[in-house]
Amino acid sequence: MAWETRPGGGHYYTRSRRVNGKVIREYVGSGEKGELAAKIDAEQRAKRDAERALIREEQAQVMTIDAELNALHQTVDALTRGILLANGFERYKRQWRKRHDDRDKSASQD
Amino acid sequence: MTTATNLPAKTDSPDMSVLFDAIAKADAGDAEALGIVKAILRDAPKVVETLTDLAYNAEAAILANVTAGATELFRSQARGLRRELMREGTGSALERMLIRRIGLDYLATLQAERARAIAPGETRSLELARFYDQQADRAHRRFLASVESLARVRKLITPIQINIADQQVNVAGNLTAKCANPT
Repeated sequence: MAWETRPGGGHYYTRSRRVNGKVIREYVGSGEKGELAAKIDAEQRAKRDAERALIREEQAQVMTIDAELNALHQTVDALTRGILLANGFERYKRQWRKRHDDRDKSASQD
Repeated sequence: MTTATNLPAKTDSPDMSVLFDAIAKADAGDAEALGIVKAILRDAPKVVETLTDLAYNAEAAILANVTAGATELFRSQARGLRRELMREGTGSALERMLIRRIGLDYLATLQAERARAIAPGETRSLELARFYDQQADRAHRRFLASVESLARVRKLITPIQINIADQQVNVAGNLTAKCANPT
């Protein structure tokens, strides 16, 4: 979006947009009409920029949260596995069960 | 076969990388590694307390952009949930560790829901709304995974009470619960 001065002396506000891969320049107008369109476009641009900045800021924060929680999850999962293994459990077909030798020991103690 | 030379030195704070390496090998069926895991957990029973730093960092990241009032409210809600979960369990170190993780995941869901909520009069682009939705979905998935993990561990380790002809019989859950997948 920009103001354009024509060789004949006209001062126009224009908008550019892409249609089917081609840039189309639309002449909005001059004078008050052009000023108003420029003001609206500037406000919308500022709003979009602010939102993009907010998304970038939020993304950075969310990435930090995800990284910290993922580290915690990995550690807790590993320790849980370790504690269960140390207590006579084993994983069989992705499911936990008491190890056979541990089950036999428990049965012989009864 | 576990030999004395393979065992790490006795310490309150074992080298976590040695422990995790041994756990991975033991999980794959390595008996020697299992001996190392047992030795480390026996000699350093407070190993689960090493999570303190991780938990502290996670909580700081979650509450970084939350207002002071909301922070106190979220903490109080997470504390309430932890207290309730502790009351139901056996109080073992493993359960405490899993409950602590649930508390942090719950805190993250509260933060994500707060971010997702739109204040009266606030407008939001589709892109930003989608971003907050995805964050909240991830937080909920993590929270549910943690709760599921605790439930399955409890099913494995908690004695089950069975009433037979008005007589209470306690059966060790680890002998009966064969199908669980805590991690």
